Amino acid sequence: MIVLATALLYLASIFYYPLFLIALSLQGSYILWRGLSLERLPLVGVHDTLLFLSFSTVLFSLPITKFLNREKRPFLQAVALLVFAFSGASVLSPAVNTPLPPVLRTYWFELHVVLSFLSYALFGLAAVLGAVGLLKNFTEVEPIQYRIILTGYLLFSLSMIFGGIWAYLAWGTYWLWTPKEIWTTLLWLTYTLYLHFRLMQGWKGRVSITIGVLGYAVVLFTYLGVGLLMKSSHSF
Amino acid sequence: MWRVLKSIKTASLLTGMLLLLMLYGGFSMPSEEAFNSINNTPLFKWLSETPLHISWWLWASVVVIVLLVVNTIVCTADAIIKITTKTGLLLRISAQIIHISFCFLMLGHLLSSIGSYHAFFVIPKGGILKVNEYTNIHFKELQYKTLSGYITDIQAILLLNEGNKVQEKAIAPNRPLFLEGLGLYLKDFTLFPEEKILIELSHEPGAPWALLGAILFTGGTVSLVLLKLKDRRI
Repeated sequence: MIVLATALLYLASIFYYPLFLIALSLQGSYILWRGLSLERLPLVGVHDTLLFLSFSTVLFSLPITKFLNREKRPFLQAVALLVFAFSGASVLSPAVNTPLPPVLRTYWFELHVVLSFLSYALFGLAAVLGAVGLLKNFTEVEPIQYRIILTGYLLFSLSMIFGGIWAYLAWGTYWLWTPKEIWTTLLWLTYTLYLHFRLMQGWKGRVSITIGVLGYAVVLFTYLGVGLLMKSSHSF
Repeated sequence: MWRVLKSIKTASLLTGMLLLLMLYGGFSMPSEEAFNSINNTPLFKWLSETPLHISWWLWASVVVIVLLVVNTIVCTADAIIKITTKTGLLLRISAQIIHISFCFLMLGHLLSSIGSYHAFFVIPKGGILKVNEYTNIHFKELQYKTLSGYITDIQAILLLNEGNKVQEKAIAPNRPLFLEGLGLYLKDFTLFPEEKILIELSHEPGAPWALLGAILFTGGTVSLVLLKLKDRRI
């Protein structure tokens, strides 16, 4: 009920901004309540991860708006639409209420997952900002999009490193050839390519903004597509 | 040749090629049974035993990665040689540390692709696993905790016999036991009808290099991001 209400509040915030902050508070409280009642990090399963992704996306969007001028309103509206989709989808997915299996009871897992979703949130915001910039012809968003992606790239790289350490302690190898690892590498390569393209003459501007938008398709497939369609070491 | 090898265009082209190869691999891997054994065999051994029509994208990825490492080394060397002023030194050094860390990470993967070892053993309660000529392991018992019918914590108690010395040791998920370069991992277990554990003996010769690469990468990236976020010229 709370999850559905939050999703609808995000949708309504497209027309009335204060609802955006109310939805954020409600969602944050719900995540906190889940964590306290489960006595663990509520980040197992699609339901909880979608909510955390939605919450992180909104949370990160707030400081970004300080750097925006005429793009601010369309940016926040697009973010609201995105997080409505995430929050709405989480309603459809049942919550996992079981205790964590022993292999997930480690700080490496927590760091790996939290950083992954924080980076996904930043990549999402970079894509939203880029899309707004391209549609409304606000190419001045490019340096802001770059900073968001760079920060997301750092968090995502750290998440991969912590995941590798965890895998070494849990499975005896820091790398497994599974679709999830391949797609994670693909995602990392996509943004590595973005960072290198941007240094090349003539690529900074509409082209780099477009890559920043398209990269998010890889993020979504890595997160949802691989988990739902392919078998991997990330199914517990 | 130097100009081509140090070029960022070459780096982008190779990264793009690797991306496309991985994209193909990401879709083809789940549909090929041959990939079921890839994680239990050193990569190059697996590649040599697998038909080319299945493994071609991995061979091609290896070639592209080798070229990318050469490109990274040349680009880094060129950038370091050209450092003449202290202006923006930390930013430039940070980028080069990231490049060097990538080479260490790839060195780790190379060593593991050649010399990794993974073997699996099912041991019933009371059973013995001979690790080498002088060392064996006796599986004493499983100790576990449950919550609402779910196992939340489990460890296997082992008696490690090294010649005349016998020590009690415990292994658990995320808590392996390391013996002379070999890791002993508790991979699975059954409680009924009798206690059994699935042990993996694992050796990853590339792990220390990968860890070194990871530490350097973290340092370089954190420094670069902090400097870039402050830079108003972006």
